[in-house]
Amino acid sequence: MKKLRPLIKGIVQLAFWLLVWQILAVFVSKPLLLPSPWHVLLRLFELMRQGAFWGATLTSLVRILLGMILAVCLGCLLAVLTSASKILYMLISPLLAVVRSTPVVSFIMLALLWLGRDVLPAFTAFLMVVPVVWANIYEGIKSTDTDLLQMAKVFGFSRPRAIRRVYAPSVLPFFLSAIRSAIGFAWKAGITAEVLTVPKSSIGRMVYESKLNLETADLFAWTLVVILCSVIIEKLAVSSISRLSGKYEARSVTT
Amino acid sequence: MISLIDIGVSYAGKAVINGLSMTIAGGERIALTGPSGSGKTTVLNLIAGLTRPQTGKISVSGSVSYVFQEPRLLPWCNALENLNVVMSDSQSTLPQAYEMLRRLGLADAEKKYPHELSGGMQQRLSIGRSLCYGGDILLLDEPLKGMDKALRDDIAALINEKTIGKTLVLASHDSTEIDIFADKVFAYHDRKFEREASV
Repeated sequence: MKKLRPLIKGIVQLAFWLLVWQILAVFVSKPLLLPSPWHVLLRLFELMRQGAFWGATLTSLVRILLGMILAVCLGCLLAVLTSASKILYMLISPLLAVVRSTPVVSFIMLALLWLGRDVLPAFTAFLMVVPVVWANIYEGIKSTDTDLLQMAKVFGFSRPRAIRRVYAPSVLPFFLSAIRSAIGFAWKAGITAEVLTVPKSSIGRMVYESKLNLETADLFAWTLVVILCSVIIEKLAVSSISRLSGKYEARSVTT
Repeated sequence: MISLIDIGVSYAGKAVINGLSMTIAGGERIALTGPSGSGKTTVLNLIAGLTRPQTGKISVSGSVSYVFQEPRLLPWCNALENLNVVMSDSQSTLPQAYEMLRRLGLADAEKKYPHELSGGMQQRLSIGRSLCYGGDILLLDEPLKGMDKALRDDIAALINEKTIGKTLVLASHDSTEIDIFADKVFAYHDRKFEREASV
């Protein structure tokens, strides 16, 4: 019963907001402005029967994931380097702070001058995710317990052993948190870039065309696809990382 | 052999140790005694290379093992792994780690994580880790604190057995601990540790 509780809670939450949406749709009673949830769901199933739906979803998925994976790698590398060198931190941290606080649209417009529209969504996702991953991992490295680091030093841990036994388990919760945020950021930034640059076969193009043709139900359906993809990828990524190093996370949380 | 010459250590501008000099010969078993804040732990940290002096010179020949005042166990490793990690950290030394657990009276706790152990059990594990590591010099910072009499005797006997012929430096203000482990005492007088007559 205890295991079912979160599921029941989730269903109740979903049902509540679907009900609110349905009431609003009835109240507005103009599907062009606000289609009902049922209408959107039906439209989604219709779209799913078309080959173009899967083509667009898969292309966007690959594009954005590619940008995100590269960003996670670079973010981790920068975190390691900046935590090891004060000079590098001094040089790199302002740049990442600027990237973090600049509106994504500004980057997209600027990058349009340099890059092709097919590459731009991946680049935008990459650019938005690097600072998030860097900040989280850097904080994780810096907050590693100095008592444990001293213990490792006294007992002559080699660098690989110190990384495996002290740093990695300490940083893992920060890494998971980074991945959770990164997936959300990557999707939002990537789809925004697609909407603004309308590359061939992409979710962004579908969203743009739905808006252009006033197909509001399609717009909602595609937005639903973006949300579902984001949630599924986050669950898959977090559960596989947790499974790979499950006990580390469990212990670091409970102690 | 451990040699500290005219050592000065200060934290945030406040001198903790000033002009400390002491020599401990190989195989000596000494105790540093003094009130809280006298710098006993700082001296151990200096010998272990964890604290750098602002002035003076330190020379330590031989590897150092340390029983910290607090256990400092890896929270994500179980009891057995916490011992094995200071040896080869592979299957090859697991039997030795398990044997140490047995000697510590913790054989039933091999799969338990630090947060599942009592404070006393964690302290025993920390002692076992230092003994597993070996080293030529053993630093002990109030190692038997909080243990009952029977347990104290067992653990003290184990430490003495495993450190025969080795240099031992104890920081404590507990006379029982000093009697058990030390032959000589450096007592804190007038902001300095001075060698007293043999115990």
